[in-house]
Amino acid sequence: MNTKSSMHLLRWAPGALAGLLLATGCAAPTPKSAAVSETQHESGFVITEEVRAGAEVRADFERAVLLLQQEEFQQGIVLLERVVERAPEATAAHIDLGVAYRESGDLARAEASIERALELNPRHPVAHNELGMLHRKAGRFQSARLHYEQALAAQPSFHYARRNLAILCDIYLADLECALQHYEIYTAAVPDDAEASMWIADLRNRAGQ
Amino acid sequence: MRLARILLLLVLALVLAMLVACASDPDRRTLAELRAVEVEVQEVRVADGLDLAMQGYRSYLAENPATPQTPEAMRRLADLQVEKEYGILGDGGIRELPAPEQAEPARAAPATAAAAPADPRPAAGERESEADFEQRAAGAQLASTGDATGAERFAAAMPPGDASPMPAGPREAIELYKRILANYPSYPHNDQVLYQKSRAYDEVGMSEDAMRVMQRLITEYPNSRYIDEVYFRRAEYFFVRRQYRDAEASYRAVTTMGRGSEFYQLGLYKLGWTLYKQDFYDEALHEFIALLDDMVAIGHDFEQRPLEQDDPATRRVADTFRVVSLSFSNLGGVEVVQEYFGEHGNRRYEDRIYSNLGEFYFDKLRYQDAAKVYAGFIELNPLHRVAPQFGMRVIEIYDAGGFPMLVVEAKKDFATSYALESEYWRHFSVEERPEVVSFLKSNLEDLANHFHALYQDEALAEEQHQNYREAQRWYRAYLSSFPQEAETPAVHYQFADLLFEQRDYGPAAAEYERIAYEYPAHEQSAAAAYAAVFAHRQNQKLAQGELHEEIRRQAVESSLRFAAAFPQHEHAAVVLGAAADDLYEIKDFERALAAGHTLIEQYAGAGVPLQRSAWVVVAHSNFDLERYQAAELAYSSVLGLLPQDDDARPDFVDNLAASIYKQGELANLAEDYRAAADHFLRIRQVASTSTIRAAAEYDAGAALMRLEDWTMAASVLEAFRETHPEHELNREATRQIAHVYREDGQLARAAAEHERISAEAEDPELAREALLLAGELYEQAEAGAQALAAHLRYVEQFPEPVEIAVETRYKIADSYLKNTDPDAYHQQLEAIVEIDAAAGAARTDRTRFLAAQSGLVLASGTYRQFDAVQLVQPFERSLQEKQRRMDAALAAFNGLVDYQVGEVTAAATFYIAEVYYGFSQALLNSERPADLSADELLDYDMVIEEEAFPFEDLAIEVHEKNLELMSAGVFNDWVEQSLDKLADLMPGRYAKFEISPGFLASLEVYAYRAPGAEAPLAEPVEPAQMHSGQEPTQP
Repeated sequence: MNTKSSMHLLRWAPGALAGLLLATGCAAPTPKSAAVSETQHESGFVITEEVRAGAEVRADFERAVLLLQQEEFQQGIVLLERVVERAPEATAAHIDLGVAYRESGDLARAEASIERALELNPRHPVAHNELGMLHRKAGRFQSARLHYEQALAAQPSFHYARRNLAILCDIYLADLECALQHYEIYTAAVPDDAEASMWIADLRNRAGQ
Repeated sequence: MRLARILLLLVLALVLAMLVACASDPDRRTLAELRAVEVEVQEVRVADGLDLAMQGYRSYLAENPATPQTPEAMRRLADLQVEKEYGILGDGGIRELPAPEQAEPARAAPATAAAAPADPRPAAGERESEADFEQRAAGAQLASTGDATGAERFAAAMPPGDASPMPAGPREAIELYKRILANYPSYPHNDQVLYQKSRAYDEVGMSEDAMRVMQRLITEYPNSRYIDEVYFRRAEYFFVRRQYRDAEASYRAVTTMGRGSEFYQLGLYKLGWTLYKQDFYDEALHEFIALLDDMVAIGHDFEQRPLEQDDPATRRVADTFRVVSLSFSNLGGVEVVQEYFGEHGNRRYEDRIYSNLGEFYFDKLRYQDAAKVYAGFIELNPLHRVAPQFGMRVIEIYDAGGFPMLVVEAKKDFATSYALESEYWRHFSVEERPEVVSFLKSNLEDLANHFHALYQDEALAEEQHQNYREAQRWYRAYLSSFPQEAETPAVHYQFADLLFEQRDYGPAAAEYERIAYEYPAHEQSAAAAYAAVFAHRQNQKLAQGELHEEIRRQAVESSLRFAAAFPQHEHAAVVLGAAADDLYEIKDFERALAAGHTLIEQYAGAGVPLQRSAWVVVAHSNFDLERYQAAELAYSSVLGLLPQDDDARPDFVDNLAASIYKQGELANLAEDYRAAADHFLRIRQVASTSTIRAAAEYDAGAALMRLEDWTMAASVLEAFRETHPEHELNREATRQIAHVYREDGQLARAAAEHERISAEAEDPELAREALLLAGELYEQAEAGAQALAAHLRYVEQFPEPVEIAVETRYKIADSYLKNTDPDAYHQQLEAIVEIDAAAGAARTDRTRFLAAQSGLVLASGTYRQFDAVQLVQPFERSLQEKQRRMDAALAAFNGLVDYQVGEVTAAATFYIAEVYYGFSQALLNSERPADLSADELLDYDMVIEEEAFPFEDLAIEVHEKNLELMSAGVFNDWVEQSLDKLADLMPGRYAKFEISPGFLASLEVYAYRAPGAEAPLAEPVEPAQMHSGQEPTQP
């Protein structure tokens, strides 16, 4: 699809991204609002959003991320709640809050935060990946598969969703064909994951291939 | 004296006339003519005038013995001599005798006479007997008729001792007349001389001589101007001597002369009498009627009452009518009268004929005949002017005759014929016949009273109805004819009384009301108004059904009208009170209210019972009009006027309470629950003995509950329950209290109330539900012990429904679990399993689930027992125990699969796998015999491993079975635990974990770089914010 955004992308990285898109079978980025832009690169992609936030909010966000990285989830969550209160359109803050709640075991709040992020940016692959994981844990395997697939539809190169979709098909859905397909794409993208290569072998063995 | 003076002047004038120039018509020169000469009369005092005149004539005759005037002077001298002796004679006119004294009246005058100016009957005192009448009326009509009376007067005039039978004067006069006749046969006035001569004889009582002289006059001078008088005098002569045939001829000679004779009417009169005396009544009537006709013809008006009753002509008129009556009577009576006039034509004065005949009979005490005469006239002349008077006279006659029945009938006829709407009054105006109208009025009243009296006469019971109708008829006639009279209200009142006496109460009431309200105020107005009310009430007593109600409404309207119009009447208050009662009973509340208030305000002194009754109406009406506040006030007033020991008091207390209660209800409807509660609670203060007090208190609690004033509601309901322990709402109150406590957060108290409800409930279902709820509330109140006790009682008392009982046992089990009472806990779990297994058709998914859960817990115990056994030396013994417990555990878990509860099946599967895995591990970790050598130990280990690994494989296999549940939609902790176990046991296959980018470090930018990518991302991406996929986050 020739859109205004994709025209910019092509100008920056025409060859590699075109090959990646063809390989995944996915189309070019869908149109987005002026506040969000996605830029595809040969080595990945960039999602840029305009966030209206003051310095204090930004500072709180940075402190929160730091605390969370240090597994200080409660403090991080408090700060993030304050951030999303003052910058409710900040998708990244909602995603981080969802991850933080998941890490702290509050899956319900985690799901709510991620869903809020998807409302702000329905294509965000990180948010879809997180929601797929949450739904898998809740036993909602089909819904989980859908979100993984949406993440990959948005960003086929997004290996997190690829791996997670393969595991979902492998263990929880007993869909070995699906699992094998995505493991293979995953291993292609992450060739250093030897464990995954073994899984492919095991799968093929079980499948009699 | 005046006469003497005039004669003197006349004589002088005559002398002069005779001397100077007299003789234009000497035949007509009579004394009467002389008197007609106009002379100048001067007042001259004259003594012995006749004597002077006679002296003058004598002197003249002496001086002129043979002149042509000699016979005239002789005649005049003779006339003067006769005149001197007997008064003026021979004037040529009728000189009737004065009317003789009438006999004493035969009867009293009729009552109607005074009221009838045109009454044809003789005035009071004029009646005389028939004989007297005949003697008088048929007697001599003229002076000097030669009757016995004249002879007597002649004899009396004779001087005592005088042998001559005749006085000198008359004798001289007769001699003079004789000399004239003898000496002057050609004297032209000899008819006059004969006439005077006969008169002179007549005067001196020489009637026979007089008759001869008159006969000579008739013979010689048939055309004399004196001929009619002479005939009449001869007739009178014969009549007096009862020579009626001769008299008849002479009278007829006069009447034949017709109206030209001055003696015509007199002649008819006497001719009639003459015929009457001969019993020729029919012929006599012709003459009398001819006389009357002639009088009418010359303009006589019988209707005019004569100025002089004693005038002979007037007397003769009356006498003529009377003799006519006698004639008709003799001929047969009224029928003859009718036939006579039918044959000979009607007369305008016929009424007088009838009335005279009627009165004639009346005088004869022939009352029926008298009345018949009057009635006969009325019959033929109903519209005659005097017909009403005749009718009135009929009544009087019957009354005088003592015929009460006939009086009544006559009065009825009169009242019918002359009612104001009758034909009669189309021809006469009421104003011109006041006497008739007055009589009609009194007549109608008499009739009404008469029949009313008969109606009341107990002896006439059989005719009572007829008399009632008659009385009604005449009362109505009176009222319709005389609606405006001063006496009318009183008559009307009697009429209404009649209706009332007949028990025609409705009509009576209507009449009383007219009497009371449709006349100008009169002295009976108030009494009639009250009587109307009374009649309505009497009428009401006799009626039933819808009619009764209709009459009651009429009575009420009448009562209100009475009370409004006559507020000072002694019964006004009572009547108004009764009306108010009725208005309330017929649900006309507004008007009942108004009447009640009027009674209260205007008749404060009417007495306590009446005031109280009024307050009752006001109270009830306000209540029905939903004006409960006013009703409350009124009921309070009622109670204030009611003795403490009155039997009605409890009911009024209830009414008072109800009026307050209704205020509460209205407040409830308006959602003003505080006000509602206040009203309800007010009852216990102001109507504490009311039967609805308890219900009110209960409703107060309900209102407070709606207000969510839980504290107050609880207080009120608790008080209710305590005060009215036997009240039917007591149990409901307990439920409400329970609800209140529950809403108020006092869950334990709520639970206690529900326990009470359960204990008191007669309905087992209610008892069961209450106890179940009690347990739940205790749970919510975290009152574990009470909850447990409640649950235990529940399962003991209500094993069914099975599902609820099982559920409750599950709670019991949980309680025991929390209380760390494992035995009791397990007992309950075992009971659940048993109940579910035995439930049969009562088994449900829930019981199966709870039984599965319970079984899982029980089975998990077998796992722990299995797990607790270590394989120690002596190995065989511990191995047996371990295997025994393994078998038991496997049996227990395999049994759970039958429940087909996904979670339990997953748990059982997990535990089975764990049993296998545990057995495998137990073997591997078993205590090695102490006496083995290294080789033996190695061999031993190999054998152990060979024995153990199959169990591990079994464990893996069973855990993988659990994973299969996921494809069936089952995913729970047990599946996850199996997955975790498998991840340990087969990490290459199952230790696979999702990864996440982790936390995003930038608010604006997320830059992803594929793990295998080598080149950095383009410019816009800040390298520091890039997130590598190399740090996967395992969830």
